[in-house]
Amino acid sequence: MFGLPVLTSLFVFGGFVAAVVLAVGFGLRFRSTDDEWAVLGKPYRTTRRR
Amino acid sequence: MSFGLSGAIAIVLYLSITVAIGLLAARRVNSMRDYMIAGNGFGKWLVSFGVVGTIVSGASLLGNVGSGYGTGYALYVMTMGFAFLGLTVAYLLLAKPMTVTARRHEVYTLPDLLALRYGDSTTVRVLSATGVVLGSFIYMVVQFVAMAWVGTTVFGWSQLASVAFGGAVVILYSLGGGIRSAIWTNLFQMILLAGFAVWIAVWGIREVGGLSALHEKLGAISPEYLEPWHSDGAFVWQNVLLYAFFIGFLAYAGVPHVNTKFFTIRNLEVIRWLPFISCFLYLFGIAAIWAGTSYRVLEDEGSVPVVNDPDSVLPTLIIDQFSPFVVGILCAAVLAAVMSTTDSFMLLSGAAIVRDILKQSIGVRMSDRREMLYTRIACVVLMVAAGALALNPPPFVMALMAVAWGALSAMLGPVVYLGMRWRRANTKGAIASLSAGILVGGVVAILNETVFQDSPLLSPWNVAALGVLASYVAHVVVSLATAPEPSKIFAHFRDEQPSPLDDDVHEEGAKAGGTAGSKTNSLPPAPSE
Repeated sequence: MFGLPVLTSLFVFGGFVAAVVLAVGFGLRFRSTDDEWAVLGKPYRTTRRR
Repeated sequence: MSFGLSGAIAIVLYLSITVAIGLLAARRVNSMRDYMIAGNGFGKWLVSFGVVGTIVSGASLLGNVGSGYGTGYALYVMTMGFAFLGLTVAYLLLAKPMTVTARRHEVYTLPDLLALRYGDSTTVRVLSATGVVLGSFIYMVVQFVAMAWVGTTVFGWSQLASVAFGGAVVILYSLGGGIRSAIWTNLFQMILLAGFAVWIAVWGIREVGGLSALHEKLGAISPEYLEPWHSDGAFVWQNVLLYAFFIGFLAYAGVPHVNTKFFTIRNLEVIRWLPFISCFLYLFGIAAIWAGTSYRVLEDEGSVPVVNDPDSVLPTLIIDQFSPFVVGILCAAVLAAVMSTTDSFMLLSGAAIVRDILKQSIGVRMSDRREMLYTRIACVVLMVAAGALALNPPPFVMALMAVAWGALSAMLGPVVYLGMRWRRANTKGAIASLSAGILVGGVVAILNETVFQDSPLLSPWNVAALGVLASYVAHVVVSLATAPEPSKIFAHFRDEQPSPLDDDVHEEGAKAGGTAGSKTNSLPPAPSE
């Protein structure tokens, strides 16, 4: 792109474009109605009880 | 350097506006919450400008131009190749948890957050606060060096006068208002800085005949300029790619001057378009790299003076090509970049010493107002110390700057990211993670820049990146190998509330009108706004 090798273009332009796409997707899907967020792992209470 | 009356007017105008904004913002500061996190009161524009403004420092404005001139795209790929994604992912993963936590708990600093997350651990707090103070102090020294450059080169002042004047301005506009003054001035400073960076990049690209022509001519000088990394030397793939991925992507917001801005967010709706705005703002902020690559081509064509030092490309270009007023704007833009970073680090390190070490770790009792007063005193002491060191900076300070971001990311990134998004992460894992990050990303990196300069350990691999990897691995392995523990930051989650089938305690709560199972998770109002 613009005379740059493909690999360099991926880093120079691709990183920005990917970030913008991700940011738009995030903006459209973001939930601001509650204050929980997605987490990995079971909650402590469940883990402890098992 | 001579920039005439119009140039002087540009600089005086910039300084006057900055101080005026800072002083105006200071009028609304009544508590430590206001001082450190602006009473959770900022919207998307202020937060975006605050985050990006603190990332794009004075050293990086000069450095971006110099890196384009000296390395082509290698340094860009190393430090920015994944940085847009890294910044976006940081918002995705951290903005909401940190906003909610700052609203529900008394969390003003990063060590506050980490201690709260990891069972009120004093060890976690002290380790993270020590890292914040050391990392911030190194950054402050380097920013003072940049201030000295502006003062001596532009005004013809002595180093002492340059450092004293620059430091006094930062203290004047940001000490009274804390983060509120810092971010309001960041807004103005970032507009100036980004506007200048874009303008000079466009100028350079047009001078060489467009972006494609620039790359064609740059490749003719040396094909390596167009490659993402070099076949030998400092920019081999083991250094460039590892840094880009681990520091720029997986631990980008480990640095406290970025992630603590999330505490200032007014409400969750503010977060929605923060990543989008910040991506473009960041692109504008670093656009000056294309002025550097253009200068390399123009130098080869004999259109501009030959330079010996990549860092002198920007000043040489401006003096040679533009009017005195533009020279004044350049100096104001460099000052803007320097000051927008210095104010953040000043506040972070002052608060880490007073709040995290003296008050929370050692147990010194102080009221809210006393804490604010002592934080201001600590800020001034640190600024004076950093300024004094910058008058004759020992070589190791500049070497430390080269590893500061990586070391902070390695040390703090994994404990923040995993802490917010992995409930199984526990205190022992966090201590192991902090220790691994300090050891590999900090100690080894510093030794490589000083003692082992001639034959660096783990060369040619990037040690800061290895520090991030070691820190993540240590956190996961130790957390899984030790007992899980609850954390206060997840206590409001619905699945943390007692369920109807769980136990007698819940039944009593239900009889008494308990709210388990219902939506109990709306945010409380911000305390001050």
